[in-house]
Amino acid sequence: MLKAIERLMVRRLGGELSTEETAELERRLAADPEAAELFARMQDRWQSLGDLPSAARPVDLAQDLMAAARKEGDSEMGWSAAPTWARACAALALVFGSLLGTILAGSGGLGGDLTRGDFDTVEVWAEPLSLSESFWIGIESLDAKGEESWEPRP
Amino acid sequence: MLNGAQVEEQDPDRGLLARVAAGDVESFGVFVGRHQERLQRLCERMLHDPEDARDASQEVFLKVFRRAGSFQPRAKVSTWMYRIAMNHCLNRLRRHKVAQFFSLQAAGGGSEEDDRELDPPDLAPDAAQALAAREQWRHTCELIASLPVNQRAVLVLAKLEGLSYRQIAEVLEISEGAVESRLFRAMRKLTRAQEKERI
Repeated sequence: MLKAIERLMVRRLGGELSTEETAELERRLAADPEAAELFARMQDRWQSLGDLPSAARPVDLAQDLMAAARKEGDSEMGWSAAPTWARACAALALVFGSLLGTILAGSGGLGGDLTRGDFDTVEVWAEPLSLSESFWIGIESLDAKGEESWEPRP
Repeated sequence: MLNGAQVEEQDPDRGLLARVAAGDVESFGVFVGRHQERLQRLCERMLHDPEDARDASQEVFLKVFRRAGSFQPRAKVSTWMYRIAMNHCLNRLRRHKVAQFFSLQAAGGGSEEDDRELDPPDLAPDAAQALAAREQWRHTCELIASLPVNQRAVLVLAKLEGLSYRQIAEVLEISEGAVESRLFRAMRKLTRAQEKERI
C-alpha cells in the first residue's frame, strides 16, 4: 500500500494529477526534503526512459500474416474456431447421447423388438443403383414381406 | 445510444475488427499494418529480444484474428489487443524463466551473441554519439529487464507506450491502485540502481 505522498508522486510522473493534487504534492514535498530528493531523482530517471529508442526496425508482417490467416480460414472452420460454450455444449450432447444409447440398449428400449434375423436380408450391390431402381427394389421387397406375413401359419 | 458512424469515430478499429471477425483477410492486413509497429515495439520492450518480439507479434496478431469474434465492445480495440499482447509476453517470459531455470547455460554470463541481439540501430550519424547512445540504450534495457515482470509490464505501458493508468489497469486487469503501486516500486528500484552507479 502506497503512502499518500508516494501515490501523488507516481501519479505526477504519469501526468495524472489534477491542479489541486499537484499543489498538494508540492506542499508535501516542501515539508519533506527526503521525499523531495527521491522525487527529483525519479523524475530524472523517468525522463531518461523516454529517450529509449527501438532496438530493431519493425518488419512488415502483413503479407505473412494474411497468408497465415487465409490458411487458417480454409482449414479451421471446425471446432477450434467455435466459441468455448459451443464446444462445451457439443461435448455434453455427445456424452448425453452416448449414455442414452447405453441405457436404451441395456433395457431393450427402442430396438427391443428387433432380432438379428431382421438384418439378414440386407443385400449388397456390386454396382451403385439409380434412385428409381432402388425405389422399385424397395417396393418389391416390402411387397414380398407383406405377402410372407399374410401367409397362413402351418 | 451511439450509431455506427459515431462508434467508428470513437474507435476506428472497431469496424475493421468486425470485418476481421467475418473472415475478411484484407481487413486483417489493414489492421496489422495499422498496429504492427507499435506491437513489435511493445513486445520488444517486454521480451528484450527483437527476434523473440517479432515472433510474439505474429502470434499476437493471429490470436487477434482468431478471437476477433469474441471482442466485447466495452473496451477499445487497442486496449483489448494490448491485453492479448501483454498476456502473451508475460506467458512467454514465464516459460523462458522456467526454461532458463532448467538450463545449465543460464548459469553463465551473456554470450557475444546475446550482446549482438541487444544492439540498437545506429541512429546518430556521429560515431562517438552513436556509441554513447548504444551504451545508454543497452544500460537502460538491462535495467528494465532486471525488474520483476509485473513491474516491467506497468512501466513499459506507462512510460514507453504512453497509456493512462486507467488503460493499464484495463489491459492488465488489475486496479489503478495496483498500477500505481507497481510503478512506484519499479521507479524506486531504477532510481536506487542509478544511485549505486554514481557510488
